[in-house]
Amino acid sequence: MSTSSKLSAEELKAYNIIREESVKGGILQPELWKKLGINSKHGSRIILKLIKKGLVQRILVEHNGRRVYKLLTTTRSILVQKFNINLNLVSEIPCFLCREIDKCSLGNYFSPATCPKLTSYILTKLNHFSKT
Amino acid sequence: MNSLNVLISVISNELGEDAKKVFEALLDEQDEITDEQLAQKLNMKVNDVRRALYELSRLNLTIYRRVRDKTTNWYVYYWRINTEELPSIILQRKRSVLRKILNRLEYEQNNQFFICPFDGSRYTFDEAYENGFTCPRCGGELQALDNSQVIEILRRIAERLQEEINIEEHKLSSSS
Repeated sequence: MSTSSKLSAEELKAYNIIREESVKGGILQPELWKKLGINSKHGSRIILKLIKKGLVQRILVEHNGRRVYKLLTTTRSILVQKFNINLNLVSEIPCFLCREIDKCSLGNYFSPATCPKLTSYILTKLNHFSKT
Repeated sequence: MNSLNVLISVISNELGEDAKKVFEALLDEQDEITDEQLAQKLNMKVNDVRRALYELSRLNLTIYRRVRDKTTNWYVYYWRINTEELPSIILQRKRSVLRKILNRLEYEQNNQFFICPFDGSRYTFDEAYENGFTCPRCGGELQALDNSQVIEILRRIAERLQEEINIEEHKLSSSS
């Protein structure tokens, strides 16, 4: 089922803004009201409908010392909360998404000892290391 | 940048823009979606969408449910992101990367290396010995190479990865 089906024009507009903002980590409710040019009473009704339809999820966060709701689209919202694995270092290493990783071991055709991608990564690190 | 955004940028770099588009479209879905609906939504060819979906499922990032269409008798594939398993799959991947780094570290520690000063190619002691300590490519005289910095870098990467994995394994087991 497509997410945008059976929504009123206002709900669709709100949903599209939330979807766009979810990429950057979500949008706070008061910010959404401003973007839509509506008051919180009206906005809350729209959001409750979207939540009921399972399109949007809201998380309570603290912003400038106040507790406010942050809105996110669903699959993304689940993952933003559940997926807390640090990828900063590992994502630089070419093995991370390498399709040969399961066949790769010392002595094999694909080997971490001779892998040109891994060697190139180490050399980049080496250049950085010798500069610092 | 949050972890999910890092993952999206890695998908974009390693698997291409199509895989990124498909992954992001699945993130914006509330539930599952067929490959044909995805193609329509993204204005892409169904073949390209399927290729991207298979690439993503090879890494277990996406999963599908197959249903036979009673009218056409063809299979319809409903795709979605493997939300439940994603953290443990990525952690498993991280462990595999750590093993590769440790393999390389072991290789660097257990071998003596020689380098050609002219073309920069690197040889193990055995390879250099077989070639009479001359470069098989350009004939230049090979020189002993100090790989202590490479060992140090690999050791640091392995330590950091191990630390991260220990923390994340603990978090994951306490949340499940």
